[in-house]
Amino acid sequence: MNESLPLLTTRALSIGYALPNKAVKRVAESLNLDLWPGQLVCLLGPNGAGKSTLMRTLAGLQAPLDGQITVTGHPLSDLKPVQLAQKLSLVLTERLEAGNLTVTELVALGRTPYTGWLGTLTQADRTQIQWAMEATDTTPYGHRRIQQLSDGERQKVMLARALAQDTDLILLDEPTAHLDLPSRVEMMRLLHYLARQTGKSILLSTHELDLALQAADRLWLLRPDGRMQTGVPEDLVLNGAFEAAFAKAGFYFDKTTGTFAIHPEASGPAVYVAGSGPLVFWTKRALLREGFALGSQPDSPISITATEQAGRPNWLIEQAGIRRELATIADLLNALQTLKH
Amino acid sequence: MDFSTSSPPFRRLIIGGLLALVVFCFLLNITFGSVAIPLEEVARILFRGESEHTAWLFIVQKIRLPKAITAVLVGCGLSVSGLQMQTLFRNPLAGPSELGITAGAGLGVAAVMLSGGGSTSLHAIQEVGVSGTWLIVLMASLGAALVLLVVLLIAGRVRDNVVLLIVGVMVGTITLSVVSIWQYFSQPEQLQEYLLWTFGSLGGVTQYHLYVLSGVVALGLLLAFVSSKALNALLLGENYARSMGLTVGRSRMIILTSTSLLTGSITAFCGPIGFIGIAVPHLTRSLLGTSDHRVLIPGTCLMGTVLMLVCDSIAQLPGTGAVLPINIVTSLLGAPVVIWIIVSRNNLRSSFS
Repeated sequence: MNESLPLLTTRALSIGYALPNKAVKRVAESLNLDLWPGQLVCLLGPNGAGKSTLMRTLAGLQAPLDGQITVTGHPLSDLKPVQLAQKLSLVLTERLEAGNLTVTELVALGRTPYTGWLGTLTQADRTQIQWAMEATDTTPYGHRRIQQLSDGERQKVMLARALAQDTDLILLDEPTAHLDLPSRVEMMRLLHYLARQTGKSILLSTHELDLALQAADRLWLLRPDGRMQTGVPEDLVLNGAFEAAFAKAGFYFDKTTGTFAIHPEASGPAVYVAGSGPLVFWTKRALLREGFALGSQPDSPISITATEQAGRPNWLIEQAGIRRELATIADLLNALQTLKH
Repeated sequence: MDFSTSSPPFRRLIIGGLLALVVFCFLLNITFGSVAIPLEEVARILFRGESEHTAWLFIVQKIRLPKAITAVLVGCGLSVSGLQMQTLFRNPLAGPSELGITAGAGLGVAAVMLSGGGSTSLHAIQEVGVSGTWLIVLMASLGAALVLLVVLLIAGRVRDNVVLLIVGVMVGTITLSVVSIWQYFSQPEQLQEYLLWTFGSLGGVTQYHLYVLSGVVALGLLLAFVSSKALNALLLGENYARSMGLTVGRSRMIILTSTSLLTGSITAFCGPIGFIGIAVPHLTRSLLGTSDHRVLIPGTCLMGTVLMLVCDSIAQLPGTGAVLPINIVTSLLGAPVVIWIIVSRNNLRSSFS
């Protein structure tokens, strides 16, 4: 593998699909993208921006409208299906129902591009399958059937199948869509680790903005108007591109915490919160949700001091000389509600 | 590392058991009939080719043996055809008779039987000459392929299992209606032959008809076995199959050819035989506990053979002189299996879709 060359490049690529009335819907155009070895790239974009169309086009499942895609130096259109299958593997959103297959049998199907006409596995195939299952931590349930697995386990098995396919490129189309939060985090952690350890380049489309910001080496931001911005996540956050791609009324992107926040209209009086650590963070969250404005000066109408006393949280409210001590945020919010009126 | 579902020795035991059952049912099938011939005499005639009774020798060699071989061919062919269709459509309710494929083959047969007027509408298929035999096989296979293509086109738009089944039944109905129109304008003698054909019979296939049927079924089974790797990949759906290097269009073409040849040739010679194609793959899958087609294809062959021989033995109504049409027996045994598949929704959803 040549480290100095991207594994997948697109030049002046236009993507889209044919509508039922024969017209062509152009989703995005003049895309110049590069996927480098050892990188985890997240493709982000709002619903309907064309993430899936791009993934399908890059995977060769759908023809580009215009432009060039090269995979490890070869034009995608020149590659035979088997050749492409040895360079690029896929994990899709769809929840797989493959009946009687066991996990090991399913992972073994990843060797399809390498096996003979009857699909008999060689020792090398078995070694690769074993490695793929160990890397994804799926060995413990190798003998179980697909329908006995949870959604999170299923997607890990599909990833193991992609690893067994032994390709430099892995494309994952919203692999975390059906998963619960711990499974999502685990999946992203696993992908990040795999990209670093194996030198593969991994591209995944996802709606997990927080996770993508933390785990991705690069982001591809597909905006609703079809324009694409790429870069290191932190750069895209700082130059505002990240927020712009998802701009919508009702919420804002908090650059200090790296999260999207619901934007309620502040209606109550300003509250100043003193203290430090997680207590202050969560107190402020609760206050914002309840519609209080956060004051920046200690001389705000209401001030709260959050401290930890003898290992227990304690909130001290001061308003116009009245002081009250409270032990939970629920009590605090109750007290503030009465003050509001 | 264990690369198979149930442990291989266990699976080998089941396959061995099925093989023994095939031999047993084969012999049993030959002993049944209007003339009582003892089992040991049947074995002697089959393995040594001799008997004191020349009549028994004639009955076994010229009538019952071809019929039993036909039952084996039908059992293998229809079951494997059903297995391929279930994987291709990713639908547990797919099968040759359910999706109207046998009706399509029937259209081909009707085209030969009813259209040609007196000269080619010969009484029963066994009277047709060599070229006529091939013509019927060709037309039946083409008819099957035609319906299969129509259903496959519709299946691309319909993802729901039961809806596809209804579509298949409707396509079958349309095909049968076309045949009915044809029948309406046909001579009574032609009609009678066609109606007899629709009851299904394993008895009419002798001599070179049997060679033709064996050859075509063998070719179809070979194509199916060659496709087993493709069928395995297709278990994950078309997109995954393509991403694993499968040329989906070509594989699908081979599978369609195999299915059409199997269903077409068998239906041409033996009439429409229902429910074997849908029931046997399910029985085999649950017995062997695998989805691997390299195991399933031989497995369904054995299972289909056993079931077909049993059905035919029942059709002989042992102890009486009467014979039931084979189609009635397979329907009586097979329809409950289909009901079981639909009722146990769990099974239905987890196998495919």
